[in-house]
Amino acid sequence: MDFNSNNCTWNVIDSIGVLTINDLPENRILRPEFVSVDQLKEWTGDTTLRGIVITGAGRHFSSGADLDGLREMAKEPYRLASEMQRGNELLNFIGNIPLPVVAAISGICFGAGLEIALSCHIRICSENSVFAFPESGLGIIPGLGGSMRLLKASDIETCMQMLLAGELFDAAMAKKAGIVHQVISEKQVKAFSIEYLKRLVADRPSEVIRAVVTAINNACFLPVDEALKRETAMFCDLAVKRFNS
Amino acid sequence: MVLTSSNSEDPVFFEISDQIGYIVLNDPPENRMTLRFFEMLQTIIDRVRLLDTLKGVVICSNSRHFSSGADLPELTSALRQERSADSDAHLSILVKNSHCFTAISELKMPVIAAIQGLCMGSAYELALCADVRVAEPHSTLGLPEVEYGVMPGCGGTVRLSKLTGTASALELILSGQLLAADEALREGLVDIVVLRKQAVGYARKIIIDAYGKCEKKSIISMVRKETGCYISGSSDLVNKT
Repeated sequence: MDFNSNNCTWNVIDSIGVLTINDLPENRILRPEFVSVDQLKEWTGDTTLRGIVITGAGRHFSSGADLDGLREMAKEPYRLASEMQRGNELLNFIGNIPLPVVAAISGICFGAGLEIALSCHIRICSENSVFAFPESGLGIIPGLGGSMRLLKASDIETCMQMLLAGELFDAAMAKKAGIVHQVISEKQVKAFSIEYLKRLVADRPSEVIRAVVTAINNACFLPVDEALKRETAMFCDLAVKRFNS
Repeated sequence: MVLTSSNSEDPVFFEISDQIGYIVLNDPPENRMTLRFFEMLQTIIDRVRLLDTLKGVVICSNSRHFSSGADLPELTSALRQERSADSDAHLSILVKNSHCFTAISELKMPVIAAIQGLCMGSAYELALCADVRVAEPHSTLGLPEVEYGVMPGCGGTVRLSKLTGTASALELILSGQLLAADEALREGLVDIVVLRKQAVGYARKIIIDAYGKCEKKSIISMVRKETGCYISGSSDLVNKT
C-alpha cells in the first residue's frame, strides 16, 4: 500500500505503519504541517496497526525547515502563525497516537526534523547521526515544541547546550543525554526499527497495546490525577474483558 | 531486622521506632496484595498522614519477597460483581486502591521502599510511590501485567514514565520484562542496590541523613549522587537539586 501526500509516503509492513519524509536529498520540511493531520489520522486509524515508524528517505532524517519557505511565510505574520499552529497540532497528534511510535534516524536530524523525532516515543539512530537545533544561530528559536520536548527527553544542561549554544550532538552524545535510546551500527535503521517494534508488541492483543500507550501518552500530557484516573479505568475495562472470557 | 507486631495476622502493619515509621508487608511467602491488604494499607496511611513527628517512612517486607503483586483473580471477580450490581460503581475498588497508593506518594515525610525478592506488578507500583527505592541483590522487579492481558492499574504507567522517561517506560511495560537488581539500577527502576539484608538499614540511613537537610523531592538525587548513579535524561525529578 503506497500513498503520497505532501512529500510523505506511507506504507504498512507487517502491521507496522511507516511514514517516510520524502524530500531528497535532505528532507527539508517545507511547511510545519509536513503531512496533513487529516491524512495522517486516516492512515494511523487503520485498526490492524500495531506500531508506527517515522523516518526520512535516503541518507538523512531531516535537516529541518526550509528557510526560503519560512522567509516567505514570515512576510505574512498571520499566515505564519496559522501554519505553525497546524504544525503543533500535527506533532501533538503524533505524540498522542495510541501506538508505539519510533523515529528511525540516520544522518542529519536538525531543527524541525529533531522536533518531529522528539514527538515520537522512542528514537533509534545510526552511528553516523547528528543532532542539532540551529535556530539560535539564525536569530530564532524552535517553534514546534522543540524546547519542551528536548527538556522532557534530556536535561537542562543539554537544552542550554543545544538551544542556546547551537551545539551539535553526535550519536554517542545524544544517547548519553537521553535524546536517543539506541544507537545501532547497521545502516538499515528503518528495518531495525520495524523489527524492534514487532518484537516489542509481539503477541500482545491490540487493545492492550493501545491501552498501555494511551496511558503513557496521558502521563505525558495530562495532569497527574487525570492520567491516573484514566489508567485505572482502562485497567478495569481490560481486566473485566480478559477474565470474563 | 525483623519487625514484629502484636497484630501479626494482618497482611500489612505499621510500627514506629526512633521516629521512623515502618509499613511492613506481612503475608508470607509472597505478600500477595489482596483486597484486605489494600483496606489495611489505607487505614495505615490515614494514620500516618497525621503523624507530624515522623522523620520518614520505610516500606518493607517481613519475608523473602517484597510482594509478587495483586491478587488478580480476586480483584477481577470483585470488579465483575461491582459492575453487575451497579454499572456506575464499577470503578470503585480499583479507584480506591489507586487512591491509596497516591496518598502514599503525597505523604509529607520521605518514604523509602526497601526491596528484596519479588517486586512486581502492584508491588512495584507501591514502590514507585516512594521517594527512593533501595533493592537487595536478588530482587526481581517489573510491571508484567501485559502478560496477563491487562496493564498496570495503580499508577504504574504514570509514575514509571515520570521516573524513567516515556521510552523506557513504554519498553518495560509493553515487553512485560522482569529485571534483576543490577539491570533495574541501570534502567532507573531502583536507585541503589545494597547488600543482602541491608535494605531496611540503608533506608533508615537515608531518612536520618536527609532529616533537616534535604527536601523530600531531592532525596532521590542525594542518594544517586552518593552512589555515583546519576542518571541524566530521565525526568525533572532526577535533575532537581
